[in-house]
Amino acid sequence: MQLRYSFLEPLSRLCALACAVLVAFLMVAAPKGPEGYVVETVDIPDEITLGVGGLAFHPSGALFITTREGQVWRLKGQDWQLFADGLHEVLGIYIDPVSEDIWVMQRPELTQLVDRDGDGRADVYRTITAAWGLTDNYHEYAFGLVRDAEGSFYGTLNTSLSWVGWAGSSKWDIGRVHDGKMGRAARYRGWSFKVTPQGEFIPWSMGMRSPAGLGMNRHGEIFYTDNQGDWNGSSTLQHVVKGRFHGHPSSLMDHPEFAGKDLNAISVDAYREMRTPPAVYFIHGDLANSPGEPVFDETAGQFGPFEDQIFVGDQTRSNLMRIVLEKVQGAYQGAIFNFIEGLQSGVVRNQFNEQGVLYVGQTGRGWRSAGDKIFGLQTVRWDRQTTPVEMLSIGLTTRGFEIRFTQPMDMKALADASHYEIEHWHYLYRPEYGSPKADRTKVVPERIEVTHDGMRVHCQMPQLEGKVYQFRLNGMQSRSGRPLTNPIGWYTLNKRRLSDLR
Amino acid sequence: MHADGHPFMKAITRYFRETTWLILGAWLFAGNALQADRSVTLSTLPGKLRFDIAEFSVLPGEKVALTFINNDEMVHNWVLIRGDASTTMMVAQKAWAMGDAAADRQFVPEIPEVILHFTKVLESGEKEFLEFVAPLEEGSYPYVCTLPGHAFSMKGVMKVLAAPAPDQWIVRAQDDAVSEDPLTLHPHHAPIVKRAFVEEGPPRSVLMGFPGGVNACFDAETCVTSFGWFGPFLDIGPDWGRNANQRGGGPVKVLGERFSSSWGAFPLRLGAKTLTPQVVFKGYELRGVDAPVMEYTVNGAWIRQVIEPSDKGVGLKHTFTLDSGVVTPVYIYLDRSQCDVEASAGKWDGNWLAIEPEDNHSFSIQTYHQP
Repeated sequence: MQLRYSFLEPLSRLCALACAVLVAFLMVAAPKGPEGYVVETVDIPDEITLGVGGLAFHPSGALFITTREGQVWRLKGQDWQLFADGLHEVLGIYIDPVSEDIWVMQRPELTQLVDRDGDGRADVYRTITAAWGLTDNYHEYAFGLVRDAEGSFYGTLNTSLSWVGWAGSSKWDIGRVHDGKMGRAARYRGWSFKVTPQGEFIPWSMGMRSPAGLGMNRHGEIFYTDNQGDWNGSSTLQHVVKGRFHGHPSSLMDHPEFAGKDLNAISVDAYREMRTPPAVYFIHGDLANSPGEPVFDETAGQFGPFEDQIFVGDQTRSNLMRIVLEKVQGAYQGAIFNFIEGLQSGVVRNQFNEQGVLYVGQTGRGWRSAGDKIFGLQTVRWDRQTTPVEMLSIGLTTRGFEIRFTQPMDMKALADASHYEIEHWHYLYRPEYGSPKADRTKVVPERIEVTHDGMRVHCQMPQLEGKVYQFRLNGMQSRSGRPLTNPIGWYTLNKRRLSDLR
Repeated sequence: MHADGHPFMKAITRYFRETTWLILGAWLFAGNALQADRSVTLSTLPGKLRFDIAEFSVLPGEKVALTFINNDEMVHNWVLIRGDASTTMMVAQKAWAMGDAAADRQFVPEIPEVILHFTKVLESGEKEFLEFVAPLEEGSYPYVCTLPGHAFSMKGVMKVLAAPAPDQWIVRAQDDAVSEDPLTLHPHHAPIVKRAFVEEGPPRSVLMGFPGGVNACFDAETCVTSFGWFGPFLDIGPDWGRNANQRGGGPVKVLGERFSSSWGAFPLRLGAKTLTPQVVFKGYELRGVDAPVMEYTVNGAWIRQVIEPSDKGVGLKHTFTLDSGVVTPVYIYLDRSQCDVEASAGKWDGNWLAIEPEDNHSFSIQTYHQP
């Protein structure tokens, strides 16, 4: 008996381990998100390397996909066709819904791709602008692409990887400020820009570090995401406004007022004064390490109850998040939630199709993304009937925060302050790489007020500007008994609300 | 021991010793006669730009019967050469530089001192039978297909050896060697354009590869042809990233041997040599044309520049087409000490070429080196 037991023990342990590995694998492999949302994977032929850099829908319904490898693919149904090849790392695309003209952002230039003979392949590669500087520094990405009602394009330009310890050469060591890692080895690195229909290049806003995603809402307002690193304590979503300084000082070399000035002679405090704080912090480590394209849900309800909210993915964690913005004292700030986790590769680009299906473009090569694929394309579809159990929004009031839900919640937990775990912290604005959650402080709400329909709760509490508030709602469920899928929300509070009249 | 001393056994032994020699001698003689007629069947591997035999051996002076079968969909020939790898490339380059005469002469240049034997250019599915006597001199004799661009991969070696080892008679091309690296760009049928960083090249490079094995790097910032090279085109591994850990975005590698383009700064002046050219790159046209067309403006005037392999030697041919609105003379600066130069129009004055308005709508300049 003893002998038999010890003989079998390693086997049973092995079986248990195998089961655990299988379960872990299934947990990783299966995306996890709110009820009613279905993730599907688009089959990509073996011979195609699809490191997604840009997504856009053609009026015909075909999806155009640009890649880090420099290709442009057209996907219609199951049919993959190469539209253009030989480009230099295409990280953005825009297709005019009426004229069907196609523009792409490639590293050296903004280019129009013309299929003159109509055979489905581009014949003419027309340079619209190449006004920004470019060295052979691998980090000098050019991202895009959005276009306003007047027909002007907007894009963003990454800083250069300048610190010799990472870049491996001193030839790019230009424009590093206070020993930050990124610099400006060529003109307009760290800027957003506008290109008019006449092709005029206008430097637009500055202070960007690694502005990997750009989005525009139906009102023509532009937002971009920036990646955590030097001068960026955590990744951010920021509102792009002409002349705005987003915080990374290397770009100031190309600002006329700073021409010839020693940027190292300007203090961190002085830069902090100049800087417009981000609308929303992504929570580094918890939510996102390198966010991509923010896309607005303007699907008229086809994607569920999140109309006008932002969906944005992360390249490191391979998840999708949801952002709700509001204007407080004239500036955007707001809340962020996780949405779907466990996608197959790093999420960089998102686009809705006409039916409100979210296409999620992925690439992980070289960046250690979560998931078992190096690149890919997945779709997220709402079943159009199941209302998810989520916090719809977190908004600021003059006395505290109001949390709204997507459906009536069970009143018992909702009204009980012990179910609310709230804390705040801030991120340090500094040249060092990243920031800890500084001054983490727990907050107990003074009062919890619940509306009779169970759709809203107000947490009365003092508010501090310059903080990120985390709301963890424990043990909450809907009135129908289904649990809150993503029980944590984060609110970036730059400004207090002065009046409850909106 | 038993046979010793016995006359009968002695006779038997002698008989066998003598007949053995006789039989052995006859066998050896007959064997030699058979071995002298060696047959080798060599094919092309479909779609691979390779021969199926990387190496085969023959004995000095023996008679070789070679059958060459073209299994590929492209046309190929087989040319046996006396020399080394550089001789092989020299022969190929001369073949590619033959221009219109190439087809009539089976893509075989007239260099009898190094070209030993060759087949004609075979269409897909064709075969040719060649008989020749192997050289008496032991050594390696390379063979190659001299069709444009093929020599980089369609090559092998015939070894002349007095006593080849058993595994030296036929060495087949390895499976992993016959498929091209997917991150090697090699223009088989039509020109390829790739934009990327390139080692020792400008950041805004437009890299052009041609089936003939002549390639060019055009700088989209200055609109100058930076350099050319002779080889299979590009290793784009550093740009694409070779595995999950590589971020890519690195400079691609030029495959082959660089040559100077001979163009220094931007060479065109419209109206006067002293007028500083303001150059703006406008893009390029790729398909539906024989060769990529670079487009740019010079002081507002639109210029189209076709870049393609020279038909005079190893080098490039630049064909410029100007706006019909340009009614001034065009001046072009080119350092003619670097290479051979041929212009379709204009008059040289030192390194300045002056082209009068009546000739400036379209003209070409070739910069090349004789192989």
